[in-house]
Amino acid sequence: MPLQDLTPELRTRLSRVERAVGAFVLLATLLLLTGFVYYLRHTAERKGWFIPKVSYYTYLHTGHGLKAGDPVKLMGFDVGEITRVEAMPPFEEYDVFVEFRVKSPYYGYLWTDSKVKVAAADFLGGRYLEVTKGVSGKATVREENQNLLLLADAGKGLYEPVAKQKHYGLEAVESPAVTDQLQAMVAKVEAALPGILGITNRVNDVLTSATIAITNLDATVLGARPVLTNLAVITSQLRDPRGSLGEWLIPTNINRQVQTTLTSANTTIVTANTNMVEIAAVLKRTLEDSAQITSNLNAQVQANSLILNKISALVIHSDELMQGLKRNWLLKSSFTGVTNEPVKSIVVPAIGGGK
Amino acid sequence: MREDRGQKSEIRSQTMFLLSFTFCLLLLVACSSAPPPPVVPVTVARASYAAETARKLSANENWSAAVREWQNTVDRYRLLNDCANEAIALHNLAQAHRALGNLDRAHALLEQAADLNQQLGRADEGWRNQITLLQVESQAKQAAALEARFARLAASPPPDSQPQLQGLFFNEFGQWQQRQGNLAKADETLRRAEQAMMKAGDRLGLAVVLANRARLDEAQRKLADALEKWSRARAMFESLADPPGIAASLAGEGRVLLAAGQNLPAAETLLRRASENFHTLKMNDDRADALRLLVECLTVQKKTAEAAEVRKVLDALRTSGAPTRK
Repeated sequence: MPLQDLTPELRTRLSRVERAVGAFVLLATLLLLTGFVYYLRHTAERKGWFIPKVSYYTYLHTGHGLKAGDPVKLMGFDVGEITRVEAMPPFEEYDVFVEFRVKSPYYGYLWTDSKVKVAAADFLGGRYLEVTKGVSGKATVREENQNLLLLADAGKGLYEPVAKQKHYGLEAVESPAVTDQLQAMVAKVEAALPGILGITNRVNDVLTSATIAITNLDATVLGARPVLTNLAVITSQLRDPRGSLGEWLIPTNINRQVQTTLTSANTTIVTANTNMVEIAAVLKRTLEDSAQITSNLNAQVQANSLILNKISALVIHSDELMQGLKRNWLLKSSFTGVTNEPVKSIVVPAIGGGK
Repeated sequence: MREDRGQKSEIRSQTMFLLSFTFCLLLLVACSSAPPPPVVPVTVARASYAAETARKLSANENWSAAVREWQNTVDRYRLLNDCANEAIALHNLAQAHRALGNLDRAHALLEQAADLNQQLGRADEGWRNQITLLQVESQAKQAAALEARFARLAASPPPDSQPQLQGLFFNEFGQWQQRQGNLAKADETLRRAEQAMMKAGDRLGLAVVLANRARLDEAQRKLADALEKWSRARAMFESLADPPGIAASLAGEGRVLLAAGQNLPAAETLLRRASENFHTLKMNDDRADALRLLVECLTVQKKTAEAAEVRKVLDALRTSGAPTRK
């Protein structure tokens, strides 16, 4: 029905509704724009769009785990980001060119003796750049009349404006990724295993020797038993007045045998004691090594389990996101997947004829 | 140069970020998401998955695996007391057993499925069971059972609202009448089957009925009509890419040409191609028929050496007792 066909009262009411709708739309748009401006401002502050930056570069053997946008750290702070990672031409001395920017005021810490460390970030081969604070060199950046000057010639102490000089090169100290370090550690453990096995073999040998020694001692004690019986007889005879008067004399050969036996027994016991001390020392060392190995392995397993948890959570959340998008009013038409036809009883017409 | 490229890529990435942010904001403000679909119980999902797997195995003619999977499906639906789906699974399990040559087992399973569908009042599914039972009994040459079943079913055939079932039933009924020697009645029944298939839009069914009508024409010695129908049937099977139908049509055309004594070289070619196709399809009974006709065709053309060679192949086939595909 056209508007002019309505009663004045209805027309007034409709125009009031239109005004209210217009005001609502205006308010919503303003709210949206305010939010957007706030977000932009926040992002600019966070990303440091209006903070002065100075570019540096370095050369690495490999760009593995590094990409543009990765943070650069200094003393544990995020002080900039990588802007470029490029392979050098094939016959160049260096392999990979990495350029990065450092924000104000952190470039003030970077002197000519500052180094770029490439440290391992995680167990998945990720790495990051960390610049070290200068100690005894010259500052790479100088501010004069609110202009940034970058060191152009360290020997002459010559500084050029940033617009002209562009970037300054720092020396890199590259360390392998955690995975490589882990691999090396595993290789070392693998190499050490024969030694550990050798130790266990030696322990086994020592124990065998101790057993043999104890068996010998036992035999010796058994052999000495008649001697002791004889000694008892002799002492009983010595208590006899006739024996004590020299009617009965201790033969010299028996005396010598007793001395020899006792000396031998003493030696055997000392040897056994020494061997036992050695065994205890070796066993202690072995147990300490084993404890260290298991402790390291435990730490690795704990770290990996955390990573796996994170990956699992990531997969679950990605799935939830996709499921949500599938139900979204705008996108759900894109996800109308092919559904399986319901299973039916199969009946196929037969060609038969006169058969 | 590198600097310019870096700045451009930075501007581009920032623009993309702003665009995507605006798009996400729009989605966030203007979206009205549908509620998530109800969660299907695990047991039901497992049963559906088993049925879907079994269906694929049957479609790929991996019959021994299909038997296992359909049995699994039957068990799972039985646990859920889902009798409708259990009956479907029983029917398809019977079809898999039938393909493996276990006709008695197939018959018993089909009877079970038919009973379940009768209890549930699912007439359409019940008809599908009955038609397959007719095919199994025909294959097992159980003449008495077949006659009794046809007598019971022909009294109240499938309704007009189910043209496909009607077409399937009349196709079986017409073949049975032909075997009984009632050629005129068989012709009428197969015509009804053809009309029903046409109404249902079942192109494979239509091609099969046409092939059966061609066989009937052969039996009535209407060789020209038979040749024309075989030719049409072959074209339809070719358009449907149905190898057994194509092979049967080639053999039919060759057989009619030989019976008419016309264009024997063409008949020879058709029969050779048919026998090769039957060989590939492991349809040994049909291959033996085609080879026998080929021997006859070669003998009529006085190609005695070739006929002897084909006869050797035929004898070897008969003595080998190789398993045949139904």
